[in-house]
Amino acid sequence: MYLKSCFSLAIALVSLTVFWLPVAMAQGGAREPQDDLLLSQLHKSSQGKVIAEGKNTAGPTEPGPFSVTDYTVEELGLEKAVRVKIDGRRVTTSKAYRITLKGGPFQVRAMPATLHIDGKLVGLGVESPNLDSITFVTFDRSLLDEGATIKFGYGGGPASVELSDKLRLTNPK
Amino acid sequence: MKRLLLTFAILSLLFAGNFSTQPGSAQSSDPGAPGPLAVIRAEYNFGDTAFTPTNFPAPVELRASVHHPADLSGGPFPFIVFLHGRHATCFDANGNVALEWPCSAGRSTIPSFQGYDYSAEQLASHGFIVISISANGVNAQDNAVADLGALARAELIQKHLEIWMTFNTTGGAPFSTQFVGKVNLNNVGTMGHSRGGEGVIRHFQLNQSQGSPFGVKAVFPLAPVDFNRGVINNVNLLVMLPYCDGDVLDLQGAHFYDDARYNAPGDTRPKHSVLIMGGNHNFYNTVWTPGEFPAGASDDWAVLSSVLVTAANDPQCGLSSSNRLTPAQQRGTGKAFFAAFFRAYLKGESQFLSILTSAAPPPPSATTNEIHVAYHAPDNPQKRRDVNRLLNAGNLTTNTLGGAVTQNGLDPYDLCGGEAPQPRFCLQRSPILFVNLGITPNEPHAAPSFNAPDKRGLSQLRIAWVNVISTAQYQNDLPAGSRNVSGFEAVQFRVSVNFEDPRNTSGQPQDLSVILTDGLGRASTVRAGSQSRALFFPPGANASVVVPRVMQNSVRIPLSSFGGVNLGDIRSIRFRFDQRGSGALLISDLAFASRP
Repeated sequence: MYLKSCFSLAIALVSLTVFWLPVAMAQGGAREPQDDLLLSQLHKSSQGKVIAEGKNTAGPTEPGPFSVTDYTVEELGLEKAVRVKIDGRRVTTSKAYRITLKGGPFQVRAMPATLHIDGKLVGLGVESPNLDSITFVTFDRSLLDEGATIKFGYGGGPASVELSDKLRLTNPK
Repeated sequence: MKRLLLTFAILSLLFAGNFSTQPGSAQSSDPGAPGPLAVIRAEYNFGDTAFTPTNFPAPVELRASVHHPADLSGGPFPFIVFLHGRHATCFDANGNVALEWPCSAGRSTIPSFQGYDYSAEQLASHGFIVISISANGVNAQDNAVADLGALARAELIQKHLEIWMTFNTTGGAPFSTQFVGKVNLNNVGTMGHSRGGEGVIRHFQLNQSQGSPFGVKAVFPLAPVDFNRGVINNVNLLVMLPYCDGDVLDLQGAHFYDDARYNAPGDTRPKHSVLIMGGNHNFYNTVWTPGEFPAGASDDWAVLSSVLVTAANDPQCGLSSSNRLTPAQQRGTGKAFFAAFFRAYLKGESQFLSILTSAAPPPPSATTNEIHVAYHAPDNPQKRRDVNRLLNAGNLTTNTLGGAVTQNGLDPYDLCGGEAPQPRFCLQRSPILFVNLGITPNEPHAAPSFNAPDKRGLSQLRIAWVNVISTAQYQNDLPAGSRNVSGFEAVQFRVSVNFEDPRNTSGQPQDLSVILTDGLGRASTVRAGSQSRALFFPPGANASVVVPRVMQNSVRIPLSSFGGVNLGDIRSIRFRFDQRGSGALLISDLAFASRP
């Protein structure tokens, strides 16, 4: 029985890893209240410079799970340099990065939308009023590696899916 | 403008249920039955942008429903606040939903606050004034703030209480002087669902930080999130968790009970946890329930199943499982336990304490017996004597009373889930799931929280046995000065069957003997399974990933069951694992206890 249970779990985990990348919520879940205002503004600010974009498809014409159809990554220039927290360290930066998932309508749930790039939590999502996009903002440029996997979900757990397109930078380093 | 939407006379009828009773206990009266008072429903609305919580990005509404006895002459009445959780805020004629506030032209408000009318009416018929407040404005912005809206929700509750302070003193629009002197704001209960569940926890803290201008006596988080690991003490607490929650997948609200237990020495108030085996997240709110509102409703387990196909056919929680509760059944569980809790602690109707302490089975209004209860008595020497809190390695050999702890034939025999150096998780799968998925849905007591990711969970004794001649046992000695237990009602502990350990047989409940031995060496034995169903095998298929779950529920054995021993001189409590050939359990909170 135990072997059967382990086998069932293993099958489930294998199937999960097809879609879901390793994540660790503990890596970046906590936010600083003083970042709220800035983050809130960046979620809504005007368009920045697009540095990556891609699609999410389950078939030739079908959107992938959770109805994500496209993504874009924008570089946002800040009016002045700010001190922010990256990986637990306070650093000064004058740029932010906004990842926008398009499609929807996205669900409004108790558990927040989460985005992981190569297994690292980018942040928690803010839905657009029409629920046709969700934005995530990070100050950490090191997350945005060419070819990185992008995983979207709710609460970081099993209700998550990996987008079909990897991160494709328009000007990879 | 006040609108009178419904006035009805309530018949004192009895629900005709045919439920098997929990072993060893008598049925109390049904708290969820309609009460004798006629009820009036009204609303007030001070506008969609009437209030701006501290440091919140946008203003929010001040709108609520009110259910109250039609005849207010019997006041002042105890006061209850309901707070809904996170959901879409607006919808259009085509059923498309939106998350904005206020709703733009062509869109109407989704009235999530109206989704608990079924309970508010019932409570009002028993002599409560119940408001359910709208928090759409919070929902539209809360993901943009660090605490995910907990403080904003708390401040919103406090603002409504301040409004009611005015209604109760000088009066005010739209009720004029109708409620002057009719509201007891020193006898307040709060119920919050989902993010509202964390909201009522945060509100208790906020009210306390302001010098407790309102007397919050009872707090009821329902399927709550716990992003911030807030802890409240010295207030009656009940956490209700739906086993088949497809949104808050890890039932992280279990922490509210666990974290509060020993946090405040002398804590005068009890804690309760109620596990609803066939319940999901959304059906407690009628506006979130498919078929009962035209837009935005969903079965959250179905949403989970859309990306985790194995969940759809889960034998416990799957979409066609007979173990799932219908929306009406699920509301029955809510109505029964909301009423039992608030009637017991705001109106002193002590007959319902037996339901809340697992001394009696769920009432007929709960519509199902598949409910498990945990109870933590007040930290009062007359109400609780902790035998073994099982918090640290020392408790493996010396219990909380200072008595010796011994065991035979148990392997493993260790602690897990609590503070380091304990392993963070009790299940073998949890570290894998934590690393790979970021959550641990199978053991809610160890679930990580967004804003307290490193905080540990519940310390539990992890044991297993394989009997050759039924000798496996676990014993706690009671030292001098602690041996007179005759003043307590029961010996109790929390337990869950470790479903992933092969020493348990899948689908079969566990069992064990509990033996009290007195100073003359006389022993009395009671089989735990004769008194409690808490040793159930957690249902669900491994392939569903988020179930089965290990959840700690109380085994409560009345001391009156132990015949032939002197309860004034008990020398030891022994668990003998002689009812099954093998097994594996997680145990916490061994104590003598009485109802509050």
